[in-house]
Amino acid sequence: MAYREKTAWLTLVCMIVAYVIYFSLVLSGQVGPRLLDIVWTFGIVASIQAVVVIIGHVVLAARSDADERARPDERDRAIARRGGSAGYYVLLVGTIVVGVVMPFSDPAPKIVNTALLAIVLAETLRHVLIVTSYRRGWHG
Amino acid sequence: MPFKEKIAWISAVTTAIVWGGYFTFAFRTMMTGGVPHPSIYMAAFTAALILQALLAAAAAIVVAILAPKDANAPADERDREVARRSYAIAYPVLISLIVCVTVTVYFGATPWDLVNGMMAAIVIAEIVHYGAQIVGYRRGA
Repeated sequence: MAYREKTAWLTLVCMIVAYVIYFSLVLSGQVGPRLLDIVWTFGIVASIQAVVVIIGHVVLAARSDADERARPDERDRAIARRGGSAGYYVLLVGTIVVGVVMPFSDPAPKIVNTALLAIVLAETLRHVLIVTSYRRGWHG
Repeated sequence: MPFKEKIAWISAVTTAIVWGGYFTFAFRTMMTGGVPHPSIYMAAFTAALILQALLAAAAAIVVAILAPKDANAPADERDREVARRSYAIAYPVLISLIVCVTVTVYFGATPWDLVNGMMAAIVIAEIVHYGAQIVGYRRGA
């Protein structure tokens, strides 16, 4: 497996684990309704995720050849953009739901958490597409 | 100028004009302290959506009639690359704006403030997307 595919898997797995934990806490009512509660819990989860991803990147970089870690080539960039493009559509739909439908029917904490969910879903799809593009040998 | 670049220009200009008009109306209303009946906002909002769709479609049809060969040509590798790149540029812009707008719900934003804020986020992201497409074609990406 190529270095960039490994880092994509690492990011995807860490993200799924982190945000499943966060949204489980939200659904079980362990995150308070205040903005500070949401920011605090989300901040802790996102920070732990970031630290694990950084450590994972360092370990993967140490185990791989310098050639593999070279600057992203044209294919790597095309794959990254493909992921970003798909994530944008998901985020657009999420924005419409959060910004146009929910303000009239839902309380503030639900609106904020749904916005976070839309971002997380868009990011997850982005990374899934990156991983599958490497797996399937997509060349743009 | 490639057909898809013309479409990007049309989309950028119609988006800026129509939603610029809508947000001017919303901002003036907010500044004067007036709170119009939600149905007025809804009518203006719906009118902006329909007007933009009509303007963009009409302009695209005119451009397609003037250059039917270009309009019927399938997207090539360059078109796809420009499209992907422009979405990838607009994506972090939209994420940042969503976060900024969403937290205003805790600072006294009304439902209509949130609707307008989210629509502004989409409009800005879309203009960045069209702008990136135009720059991509201009630079010959």
